[in-house]
Amino acid sequence: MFITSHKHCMLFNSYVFIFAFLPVVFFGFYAIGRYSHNLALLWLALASLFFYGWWDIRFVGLLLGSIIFNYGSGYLIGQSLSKSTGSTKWLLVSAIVANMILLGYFKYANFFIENLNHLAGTALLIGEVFLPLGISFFTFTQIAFLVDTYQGKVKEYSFIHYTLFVTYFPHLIAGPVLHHKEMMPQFAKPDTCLINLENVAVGLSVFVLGLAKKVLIADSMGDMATPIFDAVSTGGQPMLFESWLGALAYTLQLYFDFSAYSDMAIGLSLMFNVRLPLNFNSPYKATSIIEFWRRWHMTLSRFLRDYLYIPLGGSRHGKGRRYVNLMATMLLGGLWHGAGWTFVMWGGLHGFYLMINHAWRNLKQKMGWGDGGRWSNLGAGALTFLAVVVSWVFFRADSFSSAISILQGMVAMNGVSVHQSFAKYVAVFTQKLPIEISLEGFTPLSLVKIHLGMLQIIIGLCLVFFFPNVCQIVQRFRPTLEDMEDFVPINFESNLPAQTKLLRLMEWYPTKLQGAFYGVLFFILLAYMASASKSEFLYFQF
Amino acid sequence: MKYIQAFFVSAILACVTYYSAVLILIDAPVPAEYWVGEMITIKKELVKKHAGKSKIIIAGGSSTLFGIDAEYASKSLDMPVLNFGLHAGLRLERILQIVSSVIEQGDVLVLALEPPYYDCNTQLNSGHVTNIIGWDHDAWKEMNYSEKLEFVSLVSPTLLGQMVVAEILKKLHPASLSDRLTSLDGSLVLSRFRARTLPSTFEYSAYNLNSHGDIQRTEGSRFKGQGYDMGSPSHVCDKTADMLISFVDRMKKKGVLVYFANIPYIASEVGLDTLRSGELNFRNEFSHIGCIIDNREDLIFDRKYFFNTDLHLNTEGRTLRTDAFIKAIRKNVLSGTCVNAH
Repeated sequence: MFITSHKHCMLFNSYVFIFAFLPVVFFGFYAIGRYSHNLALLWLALASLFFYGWWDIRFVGLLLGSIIFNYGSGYLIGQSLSKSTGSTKWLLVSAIVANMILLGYFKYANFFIENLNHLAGTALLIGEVFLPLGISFFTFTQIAFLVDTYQGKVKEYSFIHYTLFVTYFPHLIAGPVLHHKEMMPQFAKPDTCLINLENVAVGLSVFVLGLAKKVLIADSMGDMATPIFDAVSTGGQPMLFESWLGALAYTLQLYFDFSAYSDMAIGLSLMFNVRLPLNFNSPYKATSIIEFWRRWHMTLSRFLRDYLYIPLGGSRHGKGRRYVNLMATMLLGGLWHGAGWTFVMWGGLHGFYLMINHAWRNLKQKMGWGDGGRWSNLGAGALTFLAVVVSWVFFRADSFSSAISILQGMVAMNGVSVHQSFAKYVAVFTQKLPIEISLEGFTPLSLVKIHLGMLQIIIGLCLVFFFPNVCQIVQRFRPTLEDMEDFVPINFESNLPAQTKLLRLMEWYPTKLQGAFYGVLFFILLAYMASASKSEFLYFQF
Repeated sequence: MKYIQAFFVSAILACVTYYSAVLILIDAPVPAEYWVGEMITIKKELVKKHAGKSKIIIAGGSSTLFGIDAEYASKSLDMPVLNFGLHAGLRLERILQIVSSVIEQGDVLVLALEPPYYDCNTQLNSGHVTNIIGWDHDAWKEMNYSEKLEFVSLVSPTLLGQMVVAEILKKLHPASLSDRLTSLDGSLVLSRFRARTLPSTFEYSAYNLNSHGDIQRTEGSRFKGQGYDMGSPSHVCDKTADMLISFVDRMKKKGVLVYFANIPYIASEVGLDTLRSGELNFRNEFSHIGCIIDNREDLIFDRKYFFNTDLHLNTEGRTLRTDAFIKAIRKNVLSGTCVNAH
């Protein structure tokens, strides 16, 4: 296993970040910006390095080394390209290989050795390898830069801007995965270092909404999912209700946690006049797996498509090859999330889902079948959601056997346990169904409070399916970059009338009333943060 | 911009209002474990009944409450033994405060603490906060200003909501909170205890205790989960060690001998080597704190002897554990061979 420790990480949902780091960086940035644009950007880059170093000062050197190496490689690739020396491709390949070796060592060395030992019966040891925070994100960001440079898309080589592009604290640790071409022009704009109160107001509100998702929803879902998955990891056999509770709670936890981080990153960045790309667009509203991947972790999907799927051949060499490419992309995408076979399985499942989805689309096209009506969409949405829930079980479980145990529980193969008050119905059901029913309560393994759990899950599902997402709430004020090719807008027209009304009701405007509302909400969240244990973001581990 | 002004002004106003409300409602009868408060009142009284006599008090969390048959031990040892097992949700300093308020010169105190008590995490958690607001008002009074400040900051908005509702109900409809309110009246609790009829099935209730403080009706085995790692605890946090050393010192000055005991463990596949190495390390660190009267190896029980959690023995398990306890008391306490190294 690789070792991760985020105990000292400066979390967005920590007091030290909100009351010390952010105000100092914010006021420092605009104060310096009045005198020098480049110095203000340097301040932001140094602050970002400090943000990273707060976790572990030793790895600042690694991050800086990676930046210098990739900047230098990019510069050489650019020079070679302009002089048409012919060595450009080798430069690119060498630089990418170097990046992969770095990532491979820190993230996959132990995984590789473990598997090798298992297969060959050896007992090789390489000791503990500490996984540097955000290494997957900053490595991928820089690989994209190298490829863009090779493709002639990179026009600017300011080292300060480049350092800021990689280290920029809102995205450094858990994304979004950025493109050089979408960030550099923003850093170069003269008015970036001049305070824009509208951006500050929108950014602050988006940050508060993200914080609310994390503190009010994701953490309470985690309090339900964690004891269930932990109990299963130590050999417990979850029954029907407990398995579903665990799987659904984790499904909601991951979405609210990761999208909360992305919202907070978008909000923070906007306060510095820099727009980040949208990373989540209500993914659980998707009615197909293809659509799901256009809405979930959109910047990673974009990366995998542009730098893996398309270079592998994409759909250019026939359907069979396309499916192989899809599967390879998703398997590697799974492995990117973590060095473990459960992640590979998760990626493989999604690769399989995508293959089925594409085959179904082809069949529909061939047969001339239409898209169906509302009920058909509802069914497609439910099936997509179910498929995603099943895949998250592998993503969360510590091993295959744990995942299988939960999936078996979800189809009642481990039996059903109900509260004693249902005793009178048990005889009826056991006669009619070949299921073992016991009276040890709904959650005998984890002792999670079922009523509260159910209520929280229903609320979570309602928020997911019927409410607008954070970026929709502030969409009039363009909080994100909107030039993403795959952006699937969910506008007023595509919603049901009730959803449209809800969106209008929740829409953000810079009024005093809304300012007061968001201010009170912000304080309530701070009060919750004080009373709960500090909770890190799930995607920090990837 | 007006929006930003409104944002910060409202946040500050909310902050002032919030903490003022917390301070005003600090003893609101919120939903909490009132039975633990009642149990403390009762157990203090049970100890007082034996005032002036030399006695053994075994204190700790709920593993002691469920794991010791003090009535049986009293008969076997021919001296009063009292079960002062409370609740693992109480902080260690609180357990020590409560027990030291009733213990007398000539008594023997055995502390059987659950593994988390030896950890460094001694901060208040939400359960502690709820109990202190609901019934443990003495704990609030005994805090200094910085502790009070920390305590108030731990009141979550959900709890404040419960405090508001409880205070309104207390004023407008006290009958709806009669269970909570009566549990705060010590004399009423004692008279109810004297007139109690034991429940027919198990209940977490202060009225489900015998006159030695043992909980009743713990027949059967319902626990399905995993037990504590038998190698744990293997380390004593410095802060906890300091607290225990100072407590043992104070008790010594009072003429009370303090000993320590292990808790029961569920038999698992963990090898005895793991258990022994964890225990050895723990004993080495513990040698400057006090004397541990038993071995973990003697307190490993089959799963069938556990009642509803990995810390709670059932009636049969309790008898086995009490036999081991009696043996350890005879060998190490009554014989005077287990000398406090401190």
